[in-house]
Amino acid sequence: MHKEKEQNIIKACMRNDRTAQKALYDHFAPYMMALTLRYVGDADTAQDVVQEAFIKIFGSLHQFTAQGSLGSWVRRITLNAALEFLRSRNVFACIEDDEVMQMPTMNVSVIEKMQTDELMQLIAMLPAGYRTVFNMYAIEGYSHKEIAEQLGIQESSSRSQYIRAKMFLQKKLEKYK
Amino acid sequence: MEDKKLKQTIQDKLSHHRVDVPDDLWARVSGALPSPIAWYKRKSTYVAAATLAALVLALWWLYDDTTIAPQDPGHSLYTACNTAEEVISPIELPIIPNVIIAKHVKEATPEPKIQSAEKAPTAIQQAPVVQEVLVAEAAQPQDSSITESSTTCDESLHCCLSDSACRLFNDPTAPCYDDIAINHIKKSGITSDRGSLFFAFHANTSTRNTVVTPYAYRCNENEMTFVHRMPFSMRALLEKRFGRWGVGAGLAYTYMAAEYESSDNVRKGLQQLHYVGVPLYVSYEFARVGKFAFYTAFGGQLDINTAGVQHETDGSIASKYFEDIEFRDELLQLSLQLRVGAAYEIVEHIDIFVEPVVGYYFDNDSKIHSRWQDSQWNTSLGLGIRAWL
Repeated sequence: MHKEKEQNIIKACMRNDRTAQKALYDHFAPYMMALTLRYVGDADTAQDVVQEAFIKIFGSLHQFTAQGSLGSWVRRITLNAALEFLRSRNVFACIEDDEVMQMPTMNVSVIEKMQTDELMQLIAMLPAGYRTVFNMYAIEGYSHKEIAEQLGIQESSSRSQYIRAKMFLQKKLEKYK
Repeated sequence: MEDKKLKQTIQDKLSHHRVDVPDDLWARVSGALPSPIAWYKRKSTYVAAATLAALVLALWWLYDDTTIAPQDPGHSLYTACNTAEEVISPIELPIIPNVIIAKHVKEATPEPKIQSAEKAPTAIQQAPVVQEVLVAEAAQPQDSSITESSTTCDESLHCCLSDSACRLFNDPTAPCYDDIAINHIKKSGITSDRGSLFFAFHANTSTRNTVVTPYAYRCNENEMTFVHRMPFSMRALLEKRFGRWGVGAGLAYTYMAAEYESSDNVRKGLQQLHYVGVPLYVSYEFARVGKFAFYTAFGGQLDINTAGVQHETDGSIASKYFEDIEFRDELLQLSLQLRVGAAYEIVEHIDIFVEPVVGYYFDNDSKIHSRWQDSQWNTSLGLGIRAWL
């Protein structure tokens, strides 16, 4: 979205202009839906989370500063909404601190050949705790320390959840082959 | 290393991934948002409505171009002359543009004869418009007693019918001066001796703020009355925006028309002027409703006359000799302008607009009777297109 057009839309959204809000929705909703699906795993729940995220976005647009990217800001709010949902389901409370295991090797070439939808389905099969850490570390690019802070878990737990997620995916990939 | 490659591969595939959104999700989202303020409760609606009303009023006022009816100098002249020993009806005037009915009255001189169209005067004074034509038509010398070019006053008329300045006074005892100062409106001081074709007239300009002064004629010239129509401008602008403020420049084309008529009914027609200008301005957008923007702008404009024509209408006597006189004024016209307008964004960053303009046009001592020169304060209507960054 062009920066100036983005600014105009933001101003109009702040005036509660429905047309501008719809324009912002049309632009970001497919991306937010995909992101949320990766975390919550099913479409119905993802819609609820996206709805909550949009309400937060429209309600706090005045806090957005033009220095940053609107896309990054929207992504952060959507991720927080997804994490909030998972937290409400006590997903992170079940994550226990366990010892760090050996990092398993994964066949990346198989993943490279996969379609995006297939990869999404594969990630959706992960247990919620594994899935959250895997998404945050492997896709969003957070460090284990940052993940631990956000989820309220030990850093080592984040690390072990990631390793377990990889092991889980490796098993699935062997079947996929 | 392997882990980095895994992360990169997954990020490439998923970080910008999008999926279809169910149709009803927007309804759910918008239903959960606060209701928008109704259009009739928005401040901007009232500002826009007020601006539109002002625009409509301005357009009405601009087009209601009721002018001050000029006094009828031709009629006055003939009336004065008609008190002479002989009656000269306008109908009997030679059908030669700008020709002078010069009457030399001498003591004990037989009553002069009236010139007719067939018998042109021997001395044609100051008839630069169609001098060649006149010379050709005046090839038959007639009674020299009629048109001697000396400066003589018919004291019964107090009207010098010669190549000198004269006045028509209500006061019959007023003297006649050969070198009288012409007390006239500013732009009417253009006289034939400047040698320009169509400027060989005094001229009155009928605009809102000019007044035809008591007459002081050079009797060998005619009074020309101009009734100006409202100028019309087209602009193509490029504007850099800084929030509500903007700075812009561009190109402007202005069309100007005036109906003219000479006091002797010889010349009558339409004067058309074409100008190209460069505007430079600062603008401020004070309201926006959807794709409509309402703004004001202030700046300067430099115009140059690119073409001009005086086209004789069918009814004019001069049209028998020529149809058009083309001319061009090389002087630059500087003005300051205040514009209030409404713009509509037709595509992204491109607006069309309509704007009434109030401008002050600096005197450049032009000989052309443009509306800008005949009245320094002016209104006009502008249409155009503007691109903004």
